[in-house]
Amino acid sequence: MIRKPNEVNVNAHYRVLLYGNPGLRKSTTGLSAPSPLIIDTDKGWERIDARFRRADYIQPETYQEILDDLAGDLTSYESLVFDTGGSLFTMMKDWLVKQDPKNGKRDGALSLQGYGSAAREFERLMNQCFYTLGKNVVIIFHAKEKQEGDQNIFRLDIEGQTANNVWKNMDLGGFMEMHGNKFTISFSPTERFFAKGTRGIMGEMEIPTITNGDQNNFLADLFNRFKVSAKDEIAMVAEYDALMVKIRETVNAVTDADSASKALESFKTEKHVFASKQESWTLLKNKAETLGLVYADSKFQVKK
Amino acid sequence: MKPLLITASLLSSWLWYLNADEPNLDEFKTVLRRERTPDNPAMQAGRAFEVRVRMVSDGYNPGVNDLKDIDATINDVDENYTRCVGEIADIVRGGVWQYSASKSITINGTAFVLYGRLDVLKGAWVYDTKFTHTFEIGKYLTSPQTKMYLALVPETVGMKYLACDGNYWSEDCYRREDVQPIENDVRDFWNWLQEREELLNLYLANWESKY
Repeated sequence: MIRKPNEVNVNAHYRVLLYGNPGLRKSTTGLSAPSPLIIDTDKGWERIDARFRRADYIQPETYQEILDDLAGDLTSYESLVFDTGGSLFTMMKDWLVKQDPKNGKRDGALSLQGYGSAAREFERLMNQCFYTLGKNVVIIFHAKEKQEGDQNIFRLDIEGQTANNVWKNMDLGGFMEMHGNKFTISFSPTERFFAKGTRGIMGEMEIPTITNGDQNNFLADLFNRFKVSAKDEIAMVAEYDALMVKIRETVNAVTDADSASKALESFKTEKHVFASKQESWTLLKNKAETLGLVYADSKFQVKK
Repeated sequence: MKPLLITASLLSSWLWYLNADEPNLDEFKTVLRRERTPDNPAMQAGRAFEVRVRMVSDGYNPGVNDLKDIDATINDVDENYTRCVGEIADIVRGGVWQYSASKSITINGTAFVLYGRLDVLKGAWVYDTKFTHTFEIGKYLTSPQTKMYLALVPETVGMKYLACDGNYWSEDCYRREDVQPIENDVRDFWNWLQEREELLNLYLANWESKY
């Protein structure tokens, strides 16, 4: 189905990472995603307040079991919630070593090759859930605190380089903590923690306390907000792409000083988007150089 | 007096000196004298990775120095390295490489020129490629490089670092709203120099902008 750049895809889905210390309602927040299936690798289901346990869940013993469940009928679910990413990774590690012993070391840890394989398998799994199955993906991590200089910083509690790699596959990543008696989530990175936001979803938000009768729908609401806020940026990207095609055609057609100067004049009248102004000038300047031209006295001239 | 030049690497060197467990003033003075720092394998690996990405992304024809870096790092290249190069090249393809930009600012009545050369400028984002074994996500939030490049191209949404460890690559992404303005760092640097006459004179003697 062809859509116009500013048309919102009502079926759009999202990938979000949540992390924080224990007891911050991360699992409950995971349950607030639209129609979730909980993949409870941490065996934490029973620890969630009974009021919020309103979703189907699996408690896999192995990574293969997760893969088998994902191959089943998931039509009733809009979101797959991995709780937690750390225990998912532990299961994945065992599976990877079974796939190829070179992925492991004698002490049971992953080898360097194994970490690379884990990063790729994690990315493949996220892509399967998101692109192939067409689900929202929520992945929850515990936070790890460490001293850096004068302050404590928080990062994902997961081994090695994987803590860096998982962010690549996420649209949003929020750090959860408590301020007084308020639960908050921040989508803007600070020196204390990393986070990932987008246009319209950034900074700190309060996670509402749910009383009897309230819906647990924080993530569902967030996804709706994302849909609206992304609209403008998506439209701008489309405008930029179209403009750059036009600019490249103009630059390709430049053959001499006169056509280079005319191209520059035409670029000045364009409604530029993002860095298209700087890019158009650089493309033109580079092309002019290949033709032995220089820019001087407000026009392109043959280099003497 | 002509405006004074400020680059991200100057500010990084200053912060490195300030935050070092054993600050090396002589090393920092070489930066203020604008002497070339000796090359090292990590710098060479970083440049070679960037050149390889550029070759794949836009068919760049490497120069003599590029070829030296490529030759020196040939043992880094394996299947994983090559895949990282290819995937990062796909992201930056179509962007403008080595875009140079400058911006004039005034701090406490003194004129400065901010200057930088970006790896890749493409639409909404400034991209920077890294080849590093010590990368940690979030590391570049307060880096002068992030602040500087976003100041130099205010039309962009943010900056993305594409960091490869030879085996896999990660993305460190910052939106403009999350990054502190570079002017704060320039002000701190300038105030700090005012209290150190010898260093101030070195800076004034060697960092005058040609613009």
